[in-house]
Amino acid sequence: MLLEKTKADTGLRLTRRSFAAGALSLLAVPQVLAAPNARRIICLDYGLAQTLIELGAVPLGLVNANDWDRWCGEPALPDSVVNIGATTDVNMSLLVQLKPDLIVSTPFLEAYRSQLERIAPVESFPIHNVGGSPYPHILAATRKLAELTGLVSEGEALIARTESQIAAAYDKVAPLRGKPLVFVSFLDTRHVRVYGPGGNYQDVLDLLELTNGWNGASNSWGFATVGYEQLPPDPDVTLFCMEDVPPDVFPTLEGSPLWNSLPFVKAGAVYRLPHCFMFGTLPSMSRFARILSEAAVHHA
Amino acid sequence: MPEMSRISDVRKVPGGAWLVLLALFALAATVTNLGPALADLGGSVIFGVDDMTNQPAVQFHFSRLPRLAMAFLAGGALGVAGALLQQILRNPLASPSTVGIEAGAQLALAVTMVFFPVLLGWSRDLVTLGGGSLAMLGVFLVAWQAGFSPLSVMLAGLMAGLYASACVTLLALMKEHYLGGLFIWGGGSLVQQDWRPVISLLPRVAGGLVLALLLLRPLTLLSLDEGAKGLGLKIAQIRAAGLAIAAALTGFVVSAVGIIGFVGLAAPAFARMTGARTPASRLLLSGISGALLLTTTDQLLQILESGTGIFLPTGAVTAMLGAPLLLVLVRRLPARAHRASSAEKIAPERSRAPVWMVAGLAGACLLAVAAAVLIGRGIDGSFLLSPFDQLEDLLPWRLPRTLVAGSAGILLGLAGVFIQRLTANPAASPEVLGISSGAVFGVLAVQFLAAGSGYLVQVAGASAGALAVFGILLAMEQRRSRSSDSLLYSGVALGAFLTALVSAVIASGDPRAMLLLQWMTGSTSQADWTSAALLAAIACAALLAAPLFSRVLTLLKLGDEAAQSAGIGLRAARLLVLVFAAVLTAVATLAIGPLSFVGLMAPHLARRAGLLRSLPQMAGAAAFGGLLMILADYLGRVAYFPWQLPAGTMATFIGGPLLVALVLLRRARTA
Repeated sequence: MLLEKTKADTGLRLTRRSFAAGALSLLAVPQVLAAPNARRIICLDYGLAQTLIELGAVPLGLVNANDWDRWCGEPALPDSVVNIGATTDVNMSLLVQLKPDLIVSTPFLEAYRSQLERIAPVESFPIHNVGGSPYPHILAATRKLAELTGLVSEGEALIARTESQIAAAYDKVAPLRGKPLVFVSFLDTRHVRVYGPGGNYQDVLDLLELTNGWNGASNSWGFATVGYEQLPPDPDVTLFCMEDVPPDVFPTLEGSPLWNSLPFVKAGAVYRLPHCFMFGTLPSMSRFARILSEAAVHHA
Repeated sequence: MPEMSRISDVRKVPGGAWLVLLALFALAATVTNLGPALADLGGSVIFGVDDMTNQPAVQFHFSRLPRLAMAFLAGGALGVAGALLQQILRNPLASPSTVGIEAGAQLALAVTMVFFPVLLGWSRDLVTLGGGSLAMLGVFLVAWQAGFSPLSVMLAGLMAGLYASACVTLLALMKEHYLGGLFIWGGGSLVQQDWRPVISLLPRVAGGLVLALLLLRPLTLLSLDEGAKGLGLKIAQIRAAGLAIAAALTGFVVSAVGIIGFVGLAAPAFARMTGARTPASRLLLSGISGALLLTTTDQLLQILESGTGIFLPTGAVTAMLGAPLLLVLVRRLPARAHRASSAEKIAPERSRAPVWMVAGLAGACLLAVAAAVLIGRGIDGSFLLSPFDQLEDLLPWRLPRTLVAGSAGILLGLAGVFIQRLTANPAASPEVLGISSGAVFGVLAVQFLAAGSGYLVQVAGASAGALAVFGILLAMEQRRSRSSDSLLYSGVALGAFLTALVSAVIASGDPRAMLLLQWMTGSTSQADWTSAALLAAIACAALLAAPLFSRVLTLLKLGDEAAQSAGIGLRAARLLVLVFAAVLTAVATLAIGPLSFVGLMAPHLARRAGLLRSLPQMAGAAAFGGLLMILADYLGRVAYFPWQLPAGTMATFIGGPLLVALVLLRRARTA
């Protein structure tokens, strides 16, 4: 149901692009049919890699594989995964030698599609930057990946597992419910990324029926870059700073009259949370739910 | 006749009027932005806040006021630094970025963020000042070897800046998740939440200003050049001291708010326009202009931000605002007053066998192609001589990009010769003219208007952008027969405008900007057989057509009078050369991005190799350009496997030391 609805939406909104994609997929049809249960998969996106690993279809190669632990971390990346270079400049000579039977990508890299298709069929998954909540797209992508790898039951199991993990967090986050919560990443001592609608975090907040305290605009990826003085001056706000906070941020802030005058700082309602990949898929969502339930314990 | 009417035109509007106008504009912007809040809160909020729970008052006193002060202070410091640099280097294109401080500081911050984040907790200022000073010291060291001549400082500074920014870009591409904050800082955000940065910057800027004023008398005498030597002044030491002060002023600002480069270029120009003639008045007026320029920009930006919610770093926008202003001002420059006095006096020894030299270079190009195709790296990263049966799979990923890189190098080398000869300025290059930036702008527009568009659409966008810039240059050239310097000036302004736009987009945090960044660094990864064949064909055509311009170039170089007496229509000849060079540049930029600077390096290398007359220099520059780019692409592909370092950036890495070494070698020989 959800999958079909998403497809219809995308088709209506992006007719030109979907036409092109359709034309390209016609060309790719014979190859896709040749490999019904793809196993030699090259993954060009951390979020999709999360899902593949959870499904048990560990990708052959992943972009930026050596930074996985710092930015994504969960699930653990098997040692067998080959690093294939930067997201925007995949090492094609290496890709040829790996002989993949499927390349999974995002519309973000659409400009490279024709190049990649010379090596293996390409499946592109619109999840983030789609002008709305990523959650339905994440579900659709999970099912499609499961289908492509012939792991349909594992896919349904992953969805069910995530749902139950989020459901389990629902009661634990009760102390946070009804309060405006603001989630930021510090970029430097003056600027933060504040997370709003259109991102992974917001989806989890919605599922847990928590309130995002940031009511300002956010871009299509689900965040806004602002000076911290623009954070809502609401005395009820609790501020959560996602790691990594650059090491000079808090020492600088401690001596700042403006920072210290902010209501949530005066109320002592500033907390640091472990990092959680914001352009991720289901594993990121259950991680965020778990992080929130742990935060709620300290909060209570 | 038109020359006469222009002069009387200048006399009608007193220079000071411009300054008053700018001041009024700054005031109006400030009142519009801060006035309403100030009226609400009462004047006492300027001096302090009694009630720390009064959020609007705290905001005003601790955020908006220090931001105003910071803009004024930073702009002033950069203006003074720029004036000082231009006085010393006697080059109106000089700016604080030219000595490499800004890029050096940015590199230090990037490296620290990625590899030693702990240091940032200790002191961000020390990191940026350290990086900036190191880059500057490198520049001085090289320049000192070459007698500290204006040209050598320019050259070394340019190279240091390119080097540092190339490294930053590579880091950003490889560690894309790390550096969001760096681009905000690189874009120059003036957001303040505290008075402390202003208070710590104030004494440093004041100290720099005092030292600069103390240096004024010897600097004034320096502009008499040989006369100063007769007076027993130690030219090199005075220049070094002046450069150090300019560097320190820039370094302090960079450390406090990031890169706001264009102010240091625009302010001294503005000061000259307002009629500042003595070095002292130029220095002070330049400081005031800089302060006003930056304040105006920043206040307008805040008005925009409160209206639309769009966050744009001020430094990036300064350039956008400052560039058109500069374009207007350039038209008022006296034709020859500020011609860069950097033409080299000692010519290198002329090669006795230019044909063999060029043939050897061409052979080296072929060898490099063979190596690039046959020797690659395997899955485990080991070097492999690919057997011919595997080549069928690998060739499409190796040969086209090698051909694209080589062809683009040839085109840029040729374009470089044309433009350097046309402008008689060895610091000129196709990249400097801003045509490459035009192509970048075109691709940017395409990316954001039609996301996920294909290669062909991007090509069209880039062409349109390059041609638009070219059209503007053309129109300016047609409007009046001017010295080539004003053309260069306009090119720099346009380039800065477009580059600033790009960095604003990158700072906005849009992940698509990474794609743009990758192209800007000169990656050839998109090459396929079609683009390779196309580019190779264009390069061949350009090589065949170039000799037709040989005579025109020789005459243009001899000077306007010689050219005219030989019966060449000056304007037509210049336009023709300009069109040819611009088309070559646009095609090459599409392939390898705007930042390779091969167009700057290849003609220099050819000259150093003794290829002096226009035809041999063209052939030599084409061959050097091709060789540089082929090697750059190959090394970029295998050096840091599995990452592929972009060919344009690699070219800067390889060519930079080469160029510096040649400068030093020549010096050693002539000394």
